[in-house]
Amino acid sequence: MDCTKSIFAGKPVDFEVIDVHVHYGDAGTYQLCGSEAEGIVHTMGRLGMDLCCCCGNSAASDWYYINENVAKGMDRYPDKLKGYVVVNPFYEDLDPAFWFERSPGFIGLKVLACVQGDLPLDHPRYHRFYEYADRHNLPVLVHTWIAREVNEMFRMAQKYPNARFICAHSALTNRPAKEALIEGMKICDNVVADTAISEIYDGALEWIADKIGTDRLVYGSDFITFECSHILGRVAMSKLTDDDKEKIFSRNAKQWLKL
Amino acid sequence: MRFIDASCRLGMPAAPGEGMPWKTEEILELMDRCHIEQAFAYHIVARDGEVEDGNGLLMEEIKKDSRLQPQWCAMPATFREFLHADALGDAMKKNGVKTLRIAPKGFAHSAMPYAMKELMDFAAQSRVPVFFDYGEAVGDALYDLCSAYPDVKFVVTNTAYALNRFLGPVLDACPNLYVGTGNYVPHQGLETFCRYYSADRLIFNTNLPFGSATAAVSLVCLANISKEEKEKIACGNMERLLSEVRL
Repeated sequence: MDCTKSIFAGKPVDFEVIDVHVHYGDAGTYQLCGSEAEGIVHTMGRLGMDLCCCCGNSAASDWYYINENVAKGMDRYPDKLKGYVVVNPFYEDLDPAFWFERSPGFIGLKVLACVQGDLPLDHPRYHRFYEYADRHNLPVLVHTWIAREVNEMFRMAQKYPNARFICAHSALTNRPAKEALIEGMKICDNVVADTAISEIYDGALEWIADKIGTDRLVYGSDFITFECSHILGRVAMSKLTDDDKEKIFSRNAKQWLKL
Repeated sequence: MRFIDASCRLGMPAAPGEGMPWKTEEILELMDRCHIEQAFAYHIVARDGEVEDGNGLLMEEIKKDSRLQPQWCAMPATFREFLHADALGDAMKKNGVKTLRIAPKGFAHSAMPYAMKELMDFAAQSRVPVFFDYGEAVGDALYDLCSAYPDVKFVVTNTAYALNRFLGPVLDACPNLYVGTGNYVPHQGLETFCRYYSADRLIFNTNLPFGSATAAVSLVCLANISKEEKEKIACGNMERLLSEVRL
């Protein structure tokens, strides 16, 4: 497939695209356009994206509000949007089961510890959520950035082998985080990494794909935190084979998320 | 669509990313893949503070390919660390240099007229566009810089996704400010920018090798804006700025 040709024509690439890392709702701290369901679906149509897996923005604040917001969006677009329940370690009344009953669109959990008191990802307060995912064989999208966070996530992945972890960002952040990811993946097979990062250089995706294999990469863009066309284009115009691109854009996600 | 990269970087990075294509030959290969006809480049040594030496290294490096065009780094002539305006103009003319890059924070000098007036007067008179990274003038400093020199055409590069509430009022107040598209990535950012400020003030650039050329061209090509707007951003606006230079 000639992705470059499609992109230069301003047309969607000829791959099914499942985005495993999408934010939903205003962040509050900076200006955003199209952050609710209609804006997300509009961008999906423009770029030919098939499915977006969303977590509520403002994870730092009211967990009921943001999860309900995502649930309402999924009610409106059940074929376009799926969701992760954003967990919060400080509220014992946050029961993941409630949300899976609330909407069939919820497919997993999201952990974003850096905006929730910066607890370690393996802090005991998070364990009940990992246990839940382990018990129900659910995906857990985990925000990581630095090596410490990657290592914490792998400790949890080892402890809860039936949970299916998606390591966000760190395949493309900094050298120590990437090294931690590469080492962790050698001993833990219930982890994949996503492609989400706002600023990236050419060659980075090919490099990490060579180290961890394209079977363990899933397409995630982090939009609407920021635009996603440049990330989609970076994957599509990479030097990877069409087969590898297809795995990253959708095939791996279907398997990992049981879609 | 033709692309002109208004700002990228040549030279050896201190800490290249894993797999980063930083060699000039690798950058040229990326330009081919991304249909980038010309790239205006500055040299990493100049940006790291050895301004005149770095500009000299740049002139040597761009001899490798005629698609590479020079972007000189510049600083005030205080302590005779850099050329005074007259000499700078002569040197730029002699070397075919039509764009400058400043880095007040990086070079640890004030951006205000008491320090930069001579350099900025030169840029205004010669209509040489002046580039700088957003990190050099964040928030109020962006307004201070653009409003202090209303006759200078500034292009802010290497922006990000969370800056629109700062950027918008400066664009309103300072018609001399243009925005480089490399890593200008608010969601629906180009569409919103074109709606509020017009495509005339967006200039395509890549920030190579630390930025991505494939991402940069995708951002423009896949934006929900007209073909005419895309062409202005990709090359038209930069060509217009260059056509106005009088050295």
